[in-house]
Amino acid sequence: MVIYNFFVFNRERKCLYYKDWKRDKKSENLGFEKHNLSGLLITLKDFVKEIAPQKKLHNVFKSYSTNTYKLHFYESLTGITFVILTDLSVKSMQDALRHIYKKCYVEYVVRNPLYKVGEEIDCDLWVHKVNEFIVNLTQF
Amino acid sequence: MSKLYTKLGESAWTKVDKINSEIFTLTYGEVVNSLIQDYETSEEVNVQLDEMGYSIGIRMIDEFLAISEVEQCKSFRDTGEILAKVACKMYLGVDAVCKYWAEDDSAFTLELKKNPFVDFVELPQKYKDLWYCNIICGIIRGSLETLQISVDVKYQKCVLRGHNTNEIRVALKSINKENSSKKN
Repeated sequence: MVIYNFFVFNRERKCLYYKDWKRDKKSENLGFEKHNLSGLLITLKDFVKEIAPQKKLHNVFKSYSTNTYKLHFYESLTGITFVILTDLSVKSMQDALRHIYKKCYVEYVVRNPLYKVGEEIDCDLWVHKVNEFIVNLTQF
Repeated sequence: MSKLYTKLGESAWTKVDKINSEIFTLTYGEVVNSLIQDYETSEEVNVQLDEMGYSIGIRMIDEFLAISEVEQCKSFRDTGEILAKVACKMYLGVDAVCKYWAEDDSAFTLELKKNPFVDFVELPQKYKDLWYCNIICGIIRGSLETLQISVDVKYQKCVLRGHNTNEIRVALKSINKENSSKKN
């Protein structure tokens, strides 16, 4: 199992954090990629919700797969989205992403007085903890 | 439903870090005191407290959701109950009640019988227009706004002004439905 890369977006579609690990093909234009990905996810999320036969409001869309990678998606009620790309053998990353929200984002970003809400995250502790958590996952 | 929230509130209360209530009360008193020295008029201090609360609220909500594990509210009535039963319990350690619901469920009054903010406090005659705990209004406004629920929050009764209870009126302005793609 392989984890390729990881994104955090806020509700305004701004990418707050990006990190890649075993990504062979580096992005030519990362800004463009982030912008398009956030747009795609918002559309996909709304559309998935719209055609769903049942009425459930939150977290309907969880992942999509192509023939080379799988994208996992988790959104908090406050609109912070966590996105992770893995290979196809990974089943679900929901618990891991929820853990990142609860134990890393809330602990080391929200509670950091130097961090301004809505800006890119460059808190050392967050960078360190997230990296440590993901690298130690069995899926890595 | 209400019972479930009471339970959630109690379990959240056991999970949060706690601080000695006297230190909390005195520190808050000192904050208000410095604001009074800086801004002089009670009206201006009220505004500043609300602003401070707002900045706290937009952060606090993430922590609240992470610890309390509440689900998305189905209605504004739910929001009120969660605010009273879970949030007040978790952060202040007290039980609050929602009353006086507007007919269309778009406004309610949050009653705090006990309020740890006001222990040992007396309001001098000179500052009789001060809403001492106005920071709570800001916090409620900030946290609900982050959930795309925009509200007006006003203090209505405060024991420091001689009322027999603390009451905060929360009125719903609008709920932004999450259809961001249509907006853009």
